[in-house]
Amino acid sequence: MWRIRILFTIILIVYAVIFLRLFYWQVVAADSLRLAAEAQYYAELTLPALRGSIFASDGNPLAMNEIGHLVYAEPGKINNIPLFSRGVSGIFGRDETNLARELSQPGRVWIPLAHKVDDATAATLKALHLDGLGFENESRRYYPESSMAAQLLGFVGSDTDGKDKGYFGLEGYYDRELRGKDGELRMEKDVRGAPILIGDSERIEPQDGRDLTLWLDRTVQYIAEKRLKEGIEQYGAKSGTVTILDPKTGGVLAMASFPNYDPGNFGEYSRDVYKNPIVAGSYEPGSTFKVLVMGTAINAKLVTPDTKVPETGPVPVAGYFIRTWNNQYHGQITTTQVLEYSSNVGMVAIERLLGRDRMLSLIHAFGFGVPTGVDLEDEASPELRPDNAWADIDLATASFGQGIAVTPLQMVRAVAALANGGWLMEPHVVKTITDSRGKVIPIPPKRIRQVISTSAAHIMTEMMIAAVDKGEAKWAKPAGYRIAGKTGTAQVPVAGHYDAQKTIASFVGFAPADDPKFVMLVTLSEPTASIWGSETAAPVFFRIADDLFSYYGIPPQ
Amino acid sequence: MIQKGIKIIFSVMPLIAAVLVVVEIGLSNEFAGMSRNAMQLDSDIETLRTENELLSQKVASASSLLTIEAKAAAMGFTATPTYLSLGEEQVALQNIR
Repeated sequence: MWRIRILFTIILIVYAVIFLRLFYWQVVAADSLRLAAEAQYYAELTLPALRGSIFASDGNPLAMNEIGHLVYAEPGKINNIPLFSRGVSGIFGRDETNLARELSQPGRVWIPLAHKVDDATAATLKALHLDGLGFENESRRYYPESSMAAQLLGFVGSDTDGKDKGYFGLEGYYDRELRGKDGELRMEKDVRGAPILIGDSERIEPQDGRDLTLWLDRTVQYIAEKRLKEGIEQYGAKSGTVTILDPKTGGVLAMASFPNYDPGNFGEYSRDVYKNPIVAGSYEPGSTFKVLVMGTAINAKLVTPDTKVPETGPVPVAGYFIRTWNNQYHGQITTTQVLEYSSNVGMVAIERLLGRDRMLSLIHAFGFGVPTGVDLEDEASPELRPDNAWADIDLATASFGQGIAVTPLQMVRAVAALANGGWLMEPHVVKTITDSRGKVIPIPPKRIRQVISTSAAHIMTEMMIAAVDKGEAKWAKPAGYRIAGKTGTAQVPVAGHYDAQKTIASFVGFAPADDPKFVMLVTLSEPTASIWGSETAAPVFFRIADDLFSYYGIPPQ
Repeated sequence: MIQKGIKIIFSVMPLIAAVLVVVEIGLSNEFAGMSRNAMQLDSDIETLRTENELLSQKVASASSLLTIEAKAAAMGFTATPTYLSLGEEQVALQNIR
């Protein structure tokens, strides 16, 4: 009997062990086993989304994708590690010893050597016929026009996870739209890795990024960059910008600045050049600001183009003396002559007629002190002093554009209001966005507010035409065209005072004056051939305008 | 009569079952084979997509203004000279009225 009991107990113990083991495998370790089985039976792939392209207004791409290569090493397949390291390290600029050490580490199955390698480099590597060297296609960014509009476009780098991310300009601002959304594929696979069609599968299609079509005209951009570069070299300037807008829509037709860089090789340039000085840089506009002050006075009906103001000598303001730029004084001059002579003394008289409130109001109304809202990542606005911190001397100097800091885009956008009947527009680079299914989403022009009346804008246009025809820059103007414009020469503040020899030379204007096709601002920083805007920035402006008249087929009037 | 019918059905059922099993095995094998074709199709699509991207890049490169400028210069086209207009005041010799 006791033998039966022992046998029964043994059988019970065996059953208990089996039961516990089953409990362990089916309950305790269930999740890890399920995951291991899924890894064995299921393949999971990321279906990468293609980044959207950026097109100029003529449909040609400014930024697109091209085939790049991920180059990797499989240490298990390498026969001669020193030879492999010697062959590869030189091409990628890596240390040969470190690479050999990495390849020799036990347990390493796959080592990435370089991402987004171009075709030429990949071909050089393939020609080495090295065992264990592999290539995988991956998309990389390509800029067919090289450095054209570099600061406007921005570039594509990597984020902390190694994924593509746009920085600066359009690539940064529209990164989410351009990036798209990766898809996923999860399917049962056989032992060879082939999909089992009758098995489980789950596929989420990738959503490719959206394409952007710009207002930017490739030819206008090319002309602007070419003439700007020539101007910087001719006048010995440190740097320069050209900004061209369509005054009726606020569309950015061109944005050129030097020095610039190649966004396809952004790593080879200093970070200082990444920022777009047209939207992120600041300068004192100088005499170009006079047209806005005068326009406000005309709009308020305080003066007419023939109203006389005194220019008899230096005018005292709060213990300082305001003089003309050439120390010449013409007695009683009309407001039109104030612009022709670019008279600082005349502008102080206008400022006194406007008064404190109207002066501050015009600064805010024309959009200074706040970002314009342009669709570029790096836009910043110089801060203005609070309204209650403006002293009399500050208002007086602001009337001729000193003591107030603006961005080039803010300045040209303000003058555009004079060209389009008085409307301040929100500047935009992107005209339409197209999704991966071809649906086009237009971005309509946006009017912000009317800053001066249509009649005041027309009066200002005639005064600016007179400033060009009879002012200091008249010798450079193309014959037969009515161009409205104003020169500017602003001293550069250095360590709390103005440097007598360093200036920002500028010229702002629009043409043809009767139906403006473009409004343009040219700035040259610290030109050495001459400090004056009339002798440096103005000729650059007129050369570009001349080219644009030919391009647009605008005959002389 | 009914009993004869039931006997016939019961005798044919194993045969039908066997046929269905054979058909199922055959179709499963067919699908398994098609998965290899599916992989090949995916690979072909990827190849065509890559070729398309390469061609787009070549077209863009050939259409760039830098390329056009270089080709124009090579063909002998020159830049239009810019003329400076002189006003009356700037001319040294003027007609005396």
